[in-house]
Amino acid sequence: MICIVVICVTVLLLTNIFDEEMTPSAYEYYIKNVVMEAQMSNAVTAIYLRYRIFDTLFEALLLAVAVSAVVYFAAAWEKGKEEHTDE
Amino acid sequence: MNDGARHSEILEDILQFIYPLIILFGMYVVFTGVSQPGGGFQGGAIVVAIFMCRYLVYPDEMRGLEAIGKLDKIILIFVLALASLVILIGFREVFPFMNKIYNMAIGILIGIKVTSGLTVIFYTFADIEGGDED
Repeated sequence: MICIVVICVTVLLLTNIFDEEMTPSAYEYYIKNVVMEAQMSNAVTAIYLRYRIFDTLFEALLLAVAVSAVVYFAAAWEKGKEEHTDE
Repeated sequence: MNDGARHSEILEDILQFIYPLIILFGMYVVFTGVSQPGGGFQGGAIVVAIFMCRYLVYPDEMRGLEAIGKLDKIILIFVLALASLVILIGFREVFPFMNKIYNMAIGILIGIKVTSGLTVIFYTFADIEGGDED
């Protein structure tokens, strides 16, 4: 039942996305203003370091959380393996 | 596992030749990210190749992994602080010269952060996998 609901919602969302007409305002804005505002000639870098800075910050935070999780679970696994060997 | 069995002098000599090239390419990608395709994430991922190559030659000699993990967290704080000051609080409007400093500094900081983070992840997994073979 849940699967059917999820599939229906996904299909509805996808049809909505495909029907959406993109307005050209965003890319026109970037092309016109990226060099003056961000003082970078690479628009992609300007977008991820300026206009979408929250995306970059949380990406960096996500990497730090991933590192902490890997170290934590590796230590827990080593501990569990030692206990298993002792038994 | 016998360390001597895995140690290869041919590999070591070849990698000593490749190390500087990897560092140069990684730094080039980081520093030219402002004006060309590239940036901190990509350059950092390239520089991690040095540590992966080092693991091939010296699988049991990696010291200072905890320090690299701490460096990862410290750099994260610097990245958050710099981005908050320049972009979110708006120092770039008060001091226009901050723009170019920010563009270069944030790329380098993200490069160091990705390098340290991926190094810790790689060595942790390698330690687990290597430990199973004993």
